[in-house]
Amino acid sequence: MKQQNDTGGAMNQELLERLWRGDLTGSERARVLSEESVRGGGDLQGQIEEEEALNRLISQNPGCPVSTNFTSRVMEAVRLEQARARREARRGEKGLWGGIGAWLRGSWVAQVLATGLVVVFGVGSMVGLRTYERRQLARSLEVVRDVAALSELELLRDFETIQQLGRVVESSSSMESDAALLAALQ
Amino acid sequence: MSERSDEDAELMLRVKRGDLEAFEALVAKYQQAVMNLIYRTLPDATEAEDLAQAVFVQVYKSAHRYEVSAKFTTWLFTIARNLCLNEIRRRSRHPAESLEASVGIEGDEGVRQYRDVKTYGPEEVALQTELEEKVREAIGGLPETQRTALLLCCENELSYEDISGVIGCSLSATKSLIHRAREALKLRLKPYLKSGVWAGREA
Repeated sequence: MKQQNDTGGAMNQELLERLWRGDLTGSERARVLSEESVRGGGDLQGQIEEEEALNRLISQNPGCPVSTNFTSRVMEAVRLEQARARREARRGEKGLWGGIGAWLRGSWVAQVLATGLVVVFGVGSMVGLRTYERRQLARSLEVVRDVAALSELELLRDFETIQQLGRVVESSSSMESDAALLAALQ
Repeated sequence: MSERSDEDAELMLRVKRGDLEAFEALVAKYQQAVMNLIYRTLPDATEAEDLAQAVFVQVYKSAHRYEVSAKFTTWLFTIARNLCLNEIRRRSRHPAESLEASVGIEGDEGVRQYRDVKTYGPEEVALQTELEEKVREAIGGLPETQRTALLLCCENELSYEDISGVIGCSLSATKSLIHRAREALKLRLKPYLKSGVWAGREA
């Protein structure tokens, strides 16, 4: 392990981690040191002392004292937060959409009902669209039928003459009309 | 440790049911630990306290999401760390120095840090203050992840698994962070480690 190399290889990882946490008891410390002296290893005692001194420096360095009314300030903030949440919930429940939303969230019956409404609306829209398309088709067929029922083209050959005769008859009064009738016949 | 966490979980379940007394007990129990962690990151007493307050309010607001499977301290310190990081990010975006911060440093900040001032003579107090300042500087100079891992290990006695949960990295990476932090501190505080001044004060 890297830690072992950095600390001279004398200390094993488990011992080091226990030292970091200050978990090593006096008897354990003595046992480790005696084992190490038998083995004739490096300066284990020096390393242990250094780790312990560092623990002392860290743990004894004072943090920041908390003010005496800290808890009451937190509780006050929490109560304000509760009141705000209640206000927001009430505001959310007000109004048509808020009411509907709250009703939907509150009951599964409402959710089933809302889903049913959406399905009915969807099916109704589809049926309506089909009916409209069929009506349009029927109208188109009627137009085609009317065109098919028209007279043959030969009968329409004198259409303009007949139309003019009709106008002459409507305005017939004198000699002019006779001339006009003659011209039309020609 | 597990008894303590069971007790915390029990309190937290009561908080989940809306019990404010249980929440008050949790605040009283962990306010100093949260405050210390924040203060090492944002060394201004007033701002640290405001942020600590925000941490506990956040804990209350998120109580409905708390599961017993998660250890309370891991959850608490994760929230504290996230709020600290948010604050650091906010400051980097708006690097305006607050008036309170400057007053704190020049004004009552030093007084706040003295402990048992009456017990020691002026020379000892001066020495202690210098040491505290050096240690604070050294810890403050560590990268955020190293500092948080170190403090959670040494001050809050969290297990390595819990620390890795708060930091959000693997167990081996967490141990490596602590190791590097300690090595850096040993280097920076070498004269004070060897002088045994702290040991002398202990005796």
